[in-house]
Amino acid sequence: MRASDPILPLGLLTREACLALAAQVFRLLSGESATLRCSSFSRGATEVARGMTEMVSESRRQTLSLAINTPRGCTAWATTTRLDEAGVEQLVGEARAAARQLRTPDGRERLSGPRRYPTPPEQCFDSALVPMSPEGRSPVIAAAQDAVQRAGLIGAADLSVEFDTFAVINSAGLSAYRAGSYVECSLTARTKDGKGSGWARSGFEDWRRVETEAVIHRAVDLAQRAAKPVAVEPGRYTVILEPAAVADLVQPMFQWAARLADRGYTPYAREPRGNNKLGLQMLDSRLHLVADPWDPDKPTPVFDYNGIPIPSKVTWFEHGVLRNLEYDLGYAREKGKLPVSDPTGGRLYGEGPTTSLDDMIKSVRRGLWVNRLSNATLMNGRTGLATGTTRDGTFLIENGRITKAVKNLRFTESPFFVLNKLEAFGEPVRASRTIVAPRLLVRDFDFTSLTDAV
Amino acid sequence: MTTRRTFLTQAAAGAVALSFPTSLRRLRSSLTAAECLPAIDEEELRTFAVAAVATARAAGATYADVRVSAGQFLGISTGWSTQSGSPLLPIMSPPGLRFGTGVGVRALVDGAWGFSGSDIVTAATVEACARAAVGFARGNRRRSEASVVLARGGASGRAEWATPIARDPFTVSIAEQGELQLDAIAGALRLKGLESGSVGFNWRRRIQVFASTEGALLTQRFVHALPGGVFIARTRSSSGAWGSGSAQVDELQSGGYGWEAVHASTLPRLLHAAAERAVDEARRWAVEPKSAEVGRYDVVLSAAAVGALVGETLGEALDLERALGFRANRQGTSFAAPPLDMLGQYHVASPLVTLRADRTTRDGAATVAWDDEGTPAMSTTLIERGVITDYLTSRETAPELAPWYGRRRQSVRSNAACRGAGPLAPVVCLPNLTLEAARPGPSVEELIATTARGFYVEQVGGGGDQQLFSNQFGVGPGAVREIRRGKLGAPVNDFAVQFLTPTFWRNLEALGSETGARAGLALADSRVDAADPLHFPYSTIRGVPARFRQVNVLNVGRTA
Repeated sequence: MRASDPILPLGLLTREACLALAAQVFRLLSGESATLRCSSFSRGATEVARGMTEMVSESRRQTLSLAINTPRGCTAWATTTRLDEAGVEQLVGEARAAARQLRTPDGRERLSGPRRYPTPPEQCFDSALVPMSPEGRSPVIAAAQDAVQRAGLIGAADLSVEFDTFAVINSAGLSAYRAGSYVECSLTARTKDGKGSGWARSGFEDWRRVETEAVIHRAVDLAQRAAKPVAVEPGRYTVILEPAAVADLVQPMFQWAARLADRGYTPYAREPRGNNKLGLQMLDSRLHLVADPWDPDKPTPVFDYNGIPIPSKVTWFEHGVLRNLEYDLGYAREKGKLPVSDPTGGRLYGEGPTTSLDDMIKSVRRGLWVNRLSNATLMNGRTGLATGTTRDGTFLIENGRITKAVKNLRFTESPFFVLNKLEAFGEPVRASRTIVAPRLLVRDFDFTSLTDAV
Repeated sequence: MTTRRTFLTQAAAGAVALSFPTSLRRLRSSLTAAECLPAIDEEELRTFAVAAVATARAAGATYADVRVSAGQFLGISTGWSTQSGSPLLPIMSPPGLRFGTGVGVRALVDGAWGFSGSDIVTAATVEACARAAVGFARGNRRRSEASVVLARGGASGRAEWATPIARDPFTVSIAEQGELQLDAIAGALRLKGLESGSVGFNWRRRIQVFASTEGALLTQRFVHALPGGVFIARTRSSSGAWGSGSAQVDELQSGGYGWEAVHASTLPRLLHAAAERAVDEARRWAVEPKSAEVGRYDVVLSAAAVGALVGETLGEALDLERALGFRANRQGTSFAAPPLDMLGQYHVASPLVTLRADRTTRDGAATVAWDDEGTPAMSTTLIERGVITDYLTSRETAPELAPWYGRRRQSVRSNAACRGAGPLAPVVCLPNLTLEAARPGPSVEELIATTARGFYVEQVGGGGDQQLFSNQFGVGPGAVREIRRGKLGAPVNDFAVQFLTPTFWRNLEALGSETGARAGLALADSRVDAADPLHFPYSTIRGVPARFRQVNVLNVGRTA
């Protein structure tokens, strides 16, 4: 075990366990070219619904996946959840059997040799072990239930912790291992007549950063203030989008594969077919979008699925200009480009002075404050146009102050349109499991209809 | 044009980098997936299940149930693509073989639940799960007086069931399966204008043992088929405009089928028909693109589109866990609430609509003998002539509807809607759904012929809000055409419909006949990976074509 390796909860695969499994596999393979991937996952959760603890649960998963590269350039796969000696023997037998069926080269990249990996950012697994036990979670659950009950509301909450490990070890000497944790607390508080609803969430790799009290306070406060919503006409409004709403909205941007853009399938496609928008201004020039393994608010992995290091941050957008798309090894070679991995997730931020929430509200003559969006669904893959609804807290702003709760509205918008109608932005914060984003003030946000859904 | 023969010639000559396989029949090996994958010891699964129940009972559970599962997955696919007019080269992907096991124990102590699951199944882990579940339940004493009371109707005694199939696909050699794909696509790939596509077979074979403290020991052996395919075409008109088209391979049988799902006699014809549809669509698009005109129109939906909307708007809304607020912090709640005010009262749809949920349909994707709480499978009418008459229930939630069942002189029992194999806790998921056809009723052609002005929509994709009340569904390129004076006109681009669920279904004015009915699959359990050997997370939804009045049509083609 390395000094930097974490102490993991029971049932997760340590680096040593993965290496031992790999040694067993490669001994059985006797010199064949192969890659072993070892994954393990453990989750503990407490769910509250209708004010009562509905379920306390724990689950574990472990998977071994073996890919054998045949001399003819084919790759055969087999996967199992049996990690005992017999299971590993069977796995090798399956993959070999599959390999014997193959004659067609699949163009996959040959194995990479040993690589050096940057030291990943330190994660505090010890802290995440606390809510792994039901007892560790129960004070938060009790506090949420008490607060909801005192406020005369109905609550539904989730507090979950997840640990996962992933290793890639191949017969050419590559060996990569990573471990991660994630703790998330969320609460929906609803009025007893079902007319008003508030929601908040906080999630981090480090349990000590999860703001459980703030989650409880915010969800209850929003539900109380949302009690008697009024209808407003759909149309184009100036809106303040809270970070969670921004994270929901920008999902269609995270389709980085150059291979798909070049074939015309994503918003990064450009006519004539075979081209993409690399180098083009697509967003407001104050905006940047990066994925950084050392982002203090959302670290991304230091190696990809194939064990290839991601040695530095990936800049997707710089001053609103598309700077990178994902080029896997095969496509990079085909296009004569350097490979770029997609580390999943990232940070959207604005360059320049930030604006506080109060100042944003004061600047709006008539507009809406939106807590979150729901069920955003892509309508047009080429423009990123999506539809969804506001949810769990939508308020009218009139003459620089929030005046009343409003009924939810359906929007039809694209992040590529919205991020060109930017008025102001706040400090970026952890907005979802994968995205860090700021609060945004945006003009002409398009709401296409009213909905009575709460 | 490149034929299979020329592929073989090219391969032999080493003329192409990615060559067609030499005849698969001449491979040294003709192994079956059953020979490749670990065998499942059914008796061992039963032993584990019985031991888990005994451990939970001894640890103090007032009720406990356990699901011990083992499953195998086989995926075989062949894809083809061309760049700049180069020949279409079919490439068979490596067969995907997966094996998985799982155990989940659920326990009640003093009316509180605990659950523990693992995908490592040994005597020690099963016992540990049972102890943990009871421990969690004990620690989860209710802060309020309410506690879980399960509806009666759980099975007891020892019983077995198996998916009725003609031939187990895991005993058909991998080589034979690949050969069938290559033979079947050969004709289709002769068509001009095809650009890329794939055909694939996914098979699952799994055994699930359920045991409970009520004395049940149930063994179910499932086999599920998920064959599919897609053709993508791109053609250029005489004016130089490009058009794209895509088509799924229709009419392949998915769900509780064996190898018979992919008949060698019919597969080539189905693939060829799909390829033709893709090319036709691309040709139409190359000469007749038209952007959707905003407004309110009559819309004729195909059986597949109606089936998709039935599942996403009505089926999901009648999930009682959702309607009661169990999922308020996740997916959301339901417009069809409070349930006791809705039952027998609420006209959610036109009187033409009768919707049945069941897990007994032969060949259905969600068909079982018992659900994952051990309740015997049954058929339930959710909507009768437009009025809500039942919800999808579990043993925990069914008692909430006791006053309604009492008025109808029905016993209070779950309608077997729970799923949760392996390490997943049982929750209510969509069962098979059937929208009753009109008798007699029009064909889709007659529906179109009697529409003065509107649109015909073949497929939809989209979704609703957190209460499934307001919805917006878009239509993929080529899946919608204009109707003018009873005739199909140009394909329409940038088309979407926006509607409120009850208004939309109340505006259903004509329903098709049984001859136009079609079954499709819907994802019913989003917790599950598509290639998970332990689960087949789909339901079969049977729709019929229908015409809806005054649907709000949007244009989603804006670029700023």
